[in-house]
Amino acid sequence: MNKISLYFLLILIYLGLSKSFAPSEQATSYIANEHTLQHSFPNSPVSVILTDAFKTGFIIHTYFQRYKVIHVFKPPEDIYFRTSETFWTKHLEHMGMSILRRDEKLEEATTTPLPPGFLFIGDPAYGSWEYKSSGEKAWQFHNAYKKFPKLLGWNDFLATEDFYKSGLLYLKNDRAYFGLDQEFGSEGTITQEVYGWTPPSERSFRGTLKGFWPYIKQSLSFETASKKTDSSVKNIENASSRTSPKKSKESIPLKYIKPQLGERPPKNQNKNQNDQSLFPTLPLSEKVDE
Amino acid sequence: MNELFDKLIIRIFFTLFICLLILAYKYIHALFYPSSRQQMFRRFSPRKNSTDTIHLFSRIIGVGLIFSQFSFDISQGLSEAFLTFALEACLGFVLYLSSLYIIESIVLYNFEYSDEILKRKNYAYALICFAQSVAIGYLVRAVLMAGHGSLVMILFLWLIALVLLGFASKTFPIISKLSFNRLLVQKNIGIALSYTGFLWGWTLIISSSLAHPYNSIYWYAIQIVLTILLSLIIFPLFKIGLVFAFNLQEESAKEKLNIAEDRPQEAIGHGIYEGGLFLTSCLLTMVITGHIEFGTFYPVF
Repeated sequence: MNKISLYFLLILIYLGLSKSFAPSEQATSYIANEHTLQHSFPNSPVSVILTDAFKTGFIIHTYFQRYKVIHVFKPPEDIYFRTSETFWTKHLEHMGMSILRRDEKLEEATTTPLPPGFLFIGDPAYGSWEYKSSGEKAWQFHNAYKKFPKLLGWNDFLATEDFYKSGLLYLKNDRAYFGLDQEFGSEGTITQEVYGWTPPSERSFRGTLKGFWPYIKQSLSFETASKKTDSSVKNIENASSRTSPKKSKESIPLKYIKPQLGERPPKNQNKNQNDQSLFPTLPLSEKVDE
Repeated sequence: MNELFDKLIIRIFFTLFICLLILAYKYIHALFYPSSRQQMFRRFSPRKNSTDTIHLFSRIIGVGLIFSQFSFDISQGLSEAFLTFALEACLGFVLYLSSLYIIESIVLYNFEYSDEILKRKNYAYALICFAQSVAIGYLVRAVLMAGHGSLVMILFLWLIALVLLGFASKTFPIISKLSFNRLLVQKNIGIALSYTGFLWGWTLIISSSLAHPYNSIYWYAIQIVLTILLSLIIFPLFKIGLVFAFNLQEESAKEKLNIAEDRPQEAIGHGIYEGGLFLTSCLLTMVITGHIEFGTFYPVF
């Protein structure tokens, strides 16, 4: 009995020490709730968009969220955070939405989930209302911020005055706002187009097997796979050499890029990539190209 | 051709250097065991001194083990390569001898070399010395490899390795059912074989725990401790698993005393069993703790 107790004590010590010193625990900041979220982004103006949520661990889960942080005067950043289960679950339906924003004038940040970039709409510093051919007013960013719609993941979305007014009401009542036609959020049409996000509950074992099938297929026909990979590498290298004389990040052969959990590329990005590649291309830098 | 000639010169230099160290050992041996100072410089008859032959050759095997994975960097020229090598090799040799002295003082503090080897011809003692030399040679080699030529790092790793090995040696009476001192006095080979398996097993675990990529001393030390802890968790599983799988009949604690006193032959059998079981379990543990590549299974940002 003593030996068994000692053995379990040893396991506990090992797990405790591993957890305390694990790089993921040390390097990745932790967000427990909205209050800590606010303190994680002290600057202003800032808009934090939730772009991914995933969990790791078979038995004991660790919850992660990825944010795209839009600073007005700095390049945007992609940042990962560990979160509490409650916070993670609460924001599962807010994918692609802004979950924190702080204006220069405001001391306190607001954490009501709103469509991405809602902070910038209606502020004359960033744009103005313009009449469209349909007769309704739509938000138009100034030339200096013309890249914002792309950064915010709007695609062809036009922020109308009705959309803005409706959003303000939701903000006042501290309720999540998904857009007039539910364009944003995990189920939103625009979010699906831009991020192609699948909720973790829907990432079934069958789906995993389905995704794994191309790897099995390639490993069964190694010669063809290697030829295909070589040709895809050549194509990419050629493409990069055409665009710039320097060797760009994209010219790194795909076979050297390993997939990482949480570095899942968007669905539409996968479609665009050649199917022959062994691994999906992953973002190599934390910074997002403007 | 130039390159081939340089490599040949280095190999000859390496051979001469090892021969020189072996010769140096002859004199250091006299310092180690002052009571047998005269014996080392007399004519040596291996046929009549088989225990001493085991003892002596085990030391030389240890020296060979240290240098079994040395590297020469001739990119900066031959003279610098020789100098770097000579410094590192001398350091390795000094560490090896110091380790032997310390471990012998911990484990064999009740026994005297001249009594056991020269007078009593104790094969068990000679075998234990052999096991210690090989284990320490292997460990010093692992330290030199992990140290990457940094003097501070090598000394730090050597200290850690030696503390771990010394601590492990002290746990032998807890793990083994054979009485170390009593059976060694009785010249029982069983205890030597059991101890050999035990020490080599621990050496494998310690040296594998040193084989981590080095970033900072802090992280490195944590990784060593975690690997040792993990080994302590995995090891009993293999030990119990082997006993269970092959239905090995372990003697009870009560019977252990009878083995030691009345049935020396059974003690040999038990010693072989213990040593084999320990070494195999440690080897399998090392496979689990040291050589699994998990890739980027858990994200680190």
